[in-house]
Amino acid sequence: MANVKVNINRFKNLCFVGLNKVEFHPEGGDVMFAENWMDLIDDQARRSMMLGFFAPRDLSGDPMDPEEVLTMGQHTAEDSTFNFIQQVKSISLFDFCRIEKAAPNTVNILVVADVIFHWDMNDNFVTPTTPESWVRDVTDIINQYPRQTARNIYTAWDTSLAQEELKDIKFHNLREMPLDSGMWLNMPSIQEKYANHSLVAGIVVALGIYGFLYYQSGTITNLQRQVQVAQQRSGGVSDLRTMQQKVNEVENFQKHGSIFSLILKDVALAIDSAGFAIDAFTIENPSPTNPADALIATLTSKENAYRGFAQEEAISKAILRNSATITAVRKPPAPNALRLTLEGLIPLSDVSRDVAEYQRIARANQKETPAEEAEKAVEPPPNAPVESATP
Amino acid sequence: MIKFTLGIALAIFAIIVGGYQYFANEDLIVRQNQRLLDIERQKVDAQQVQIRLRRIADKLMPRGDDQRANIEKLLNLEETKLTFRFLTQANPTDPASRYFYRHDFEITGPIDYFKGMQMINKADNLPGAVLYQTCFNCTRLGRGVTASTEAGEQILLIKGYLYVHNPEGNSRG
Repeated sequence: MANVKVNINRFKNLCFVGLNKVEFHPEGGDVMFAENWMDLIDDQARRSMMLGFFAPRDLSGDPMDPEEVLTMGQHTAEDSTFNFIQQVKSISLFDFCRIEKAAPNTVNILVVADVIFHWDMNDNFVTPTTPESWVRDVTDIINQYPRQTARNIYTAWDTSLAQEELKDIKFHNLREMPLDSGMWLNMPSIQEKYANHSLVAGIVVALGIYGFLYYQSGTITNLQRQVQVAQQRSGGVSDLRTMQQKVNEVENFQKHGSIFSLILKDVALAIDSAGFAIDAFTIENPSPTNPADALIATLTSKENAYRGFAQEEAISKAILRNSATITAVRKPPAPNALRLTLEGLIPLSDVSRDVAEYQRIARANQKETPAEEAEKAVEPPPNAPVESATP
Repeated sequence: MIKFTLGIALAIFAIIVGGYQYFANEDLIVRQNQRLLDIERQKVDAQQVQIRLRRIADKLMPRGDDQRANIEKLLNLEETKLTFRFLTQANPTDPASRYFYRHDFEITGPIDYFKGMQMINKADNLPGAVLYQTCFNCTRLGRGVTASTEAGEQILLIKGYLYVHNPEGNSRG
């Protein structure tokens, strides 16, 4: 996996472990030096601290055990490993010997604690130094490189005098030191880095969803209460469908009410007017279980009253002509060939319409008649005596 | 690591369960709203049916008047040879008969033409009566009826329904 840059400023406290000396940069404080880093650092400082050290490779080419470097060879007890792990648990460990190689034709130098650490495009090196001799030591190192080589020094030490002697070198603050993830031995994984965030987010999401569902259930409870109240107020509408069916049934049956006798009279008059030799007649709803749209009038003649098509046709037409309600006549297959049977169709909607029209005209005539009578009552009769002629 | 997994698991669990519950609740809310609308609609329908009920109730025979003797009196059947019979007997205590119920009736017997027409007219105008068959000089009499006609008389058969209105059912509704 490719190394990524790590910003050194993410760490509030910086601690560099040299060969025999430790340099500690607390946040907002003065630089401190000591022989053991554990003496300098308290629990507060551990929380956001970079602990840089130099663990050179052994003869087999493998990096040294950081524990050995950081304990400075003082640990011997078996339980010291456990103690060490406990000590560095919350500290970010950076092994500078695992730093990425420098750009071509560039040499970078880090001066901290009692060490000059420099690295170029090939390798990195650790050189012991002291505050008194570091300028000379740096000069010796630089002299190993061609003049055109770019040179960078990262240090927090006083460089006012050194800048005069080391003119071709670019001085940088220690906080500008480039770090990469390859140096970070205990770099937290995404899971470790965002563990608390994830847990908090999970709890927040769960609580949010719970809250929203609680609000939603409140809405449901409110609606259910409204439904209950509405049901109580509406009372017995549970059998509304039955009620509607019954009302519809009664209304449909009553739609053409009280015209049955009128139809009967009309058919009887038609029989009489046409001179039909009647024996029996029936008027019925062909489907009594349903409200009638039409009635059927069945007329049966006396025996041998009509013979042949000419007589039957003529009397049928006469019936049709003399009835105001029968709109069509047919001769059904009759069980008794000696009697003529005719069936007349009586559409009830037409009859109801005609009856309603007749009733409207009759009511209008009834209103006019009293008015005319009143006018006649006011006018004196032509032969009425003149008032002035009376004594 | 455990915290991270726990947080993610908690969030996923909450989203899945919450999402399912959300849609279930939304469905319930829609159904409750629909039910509320239905009840309101039913209420309006019930009011309309009540109005229709009151309008047609006046044209029907009130419950209690649908007695044979009462109907015979209304039709003046004592003065004729006609017989009134109920063909079916409705059960007024049936829940389906809460507002209305109907009887099938039959009037049959010998009568002359003029009185027969009068009888049909009376039967047609009887409250709640709906005639569906009349027959003059019928060859078929009503069930169990035997009659002999005199001069000028014919057998008359009238069949119809008698709708009876139950005012108590109406007041309960």
